[in-house]
Amino acid sequence: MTYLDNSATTYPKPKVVIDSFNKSMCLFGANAGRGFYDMAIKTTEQIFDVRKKICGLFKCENPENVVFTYNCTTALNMAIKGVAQKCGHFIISDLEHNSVLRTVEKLKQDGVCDYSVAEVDADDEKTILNFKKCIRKNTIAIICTGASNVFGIITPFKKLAKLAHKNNLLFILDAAQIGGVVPVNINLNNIDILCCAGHKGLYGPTGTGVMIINNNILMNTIIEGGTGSNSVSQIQPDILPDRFESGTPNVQGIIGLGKGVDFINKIGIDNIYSHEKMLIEYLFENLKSFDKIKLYCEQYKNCAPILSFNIENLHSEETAQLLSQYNIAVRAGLHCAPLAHKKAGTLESGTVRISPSVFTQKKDVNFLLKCVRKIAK
Amino acid sequence: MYKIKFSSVTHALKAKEIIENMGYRAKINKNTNPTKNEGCGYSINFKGDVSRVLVRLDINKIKYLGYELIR
Repeated sequence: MTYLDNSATTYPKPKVVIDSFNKSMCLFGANAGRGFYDMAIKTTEQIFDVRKKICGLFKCENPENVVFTYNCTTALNMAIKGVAQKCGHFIISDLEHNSVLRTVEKLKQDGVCDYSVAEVDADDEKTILNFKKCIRKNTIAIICTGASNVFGIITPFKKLAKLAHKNNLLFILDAAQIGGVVPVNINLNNIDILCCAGHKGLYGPTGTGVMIINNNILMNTIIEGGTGSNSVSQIQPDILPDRFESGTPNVQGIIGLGKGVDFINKIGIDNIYSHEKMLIEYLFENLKSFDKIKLYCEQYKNCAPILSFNIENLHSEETAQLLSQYNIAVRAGLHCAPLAHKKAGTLESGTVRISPSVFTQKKDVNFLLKCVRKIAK
Repeated sequence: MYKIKFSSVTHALKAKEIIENMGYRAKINKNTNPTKNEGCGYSINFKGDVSRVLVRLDINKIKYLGYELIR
């Protein structure tokens, strides 16, 4: 199979991730943070080690501020609903995934918070101005993706975080598409809450995600339950990470995620980005010369390694289906990001999305090009 | 020997590393004699200067429930 759907989840996973996942089923099979027999404490220590690795990756100071979740969507729900206040207001970008859009919409429908959608422009300064115009007296936070999961457009999230802080707002970053691909420094980049999938650019198993809280605010919880700490109290503890980690954690997934972080550290984020970017630029340049191909940006400069296209007179889903007959795995449709498609005018057709990983080779792209040419004929 | 008590295992593990980095041997245990208000928790036993350790824990924002001198 030629797998080019790494924005959904990276595949294959590195061997070290698979091995550690399998091994941990036997060696670290206990529940973490509860019992105190040998295997339980070793399991707990393993999880603590992964917290430190995640800290290292995003330059966070305190491992206790790393909360393990089940994916980026869970992390974003916890973050957004955690800071929401009655009669509050959020600002989101027009590239947001449904994990942000539906969450703020739900808060709106419940009469809790309102939200505004700010346009991301090709000119960063215009983007900042667009966000600035949306700020109200009751605005709580700016929530923005690091990069569009459809078109790869990297948002000026560092500048937006500065804008947020300048206006005493929180900044929540959806790092689903940039974690492990683009360097992020949670402190230097003024990020209050960073949400990231563990199974995409961090190469961990599915069922993993993180929310890093880089602020002293006491956030509300959306899930309560056993934390293995302060159990006598009927009230959810306020201590991190316990406050947001009720129930048995995904031990094997988290341990695998730690190995995923080791893997990307070994290769280097810059090298991963260069490799994937080179493939996408190569694909872009070649597709440009094809008849009947519609591309959605003029050049691939400041983009995450994600490319969307369509073949004339074919719905994106049809193209993806035809590609699957050549055993090429791509994602078509709306990619759970209707705002981004509305912006690009592709709400009806959707797009075919290509997203490589560090394992993707030039021959994979060449094979894709060959098949696209055949389909487009 | 001193025993410092924690409610969160993550804070206990972080404290253990800090205490060890200060040159003391530290052992993490389950808190075997929690008070009524503490519920489940962990403790770290170590021999060393407790006031220095507590200052370091405070600097590192580690939340502990209290400490006691043990035999």
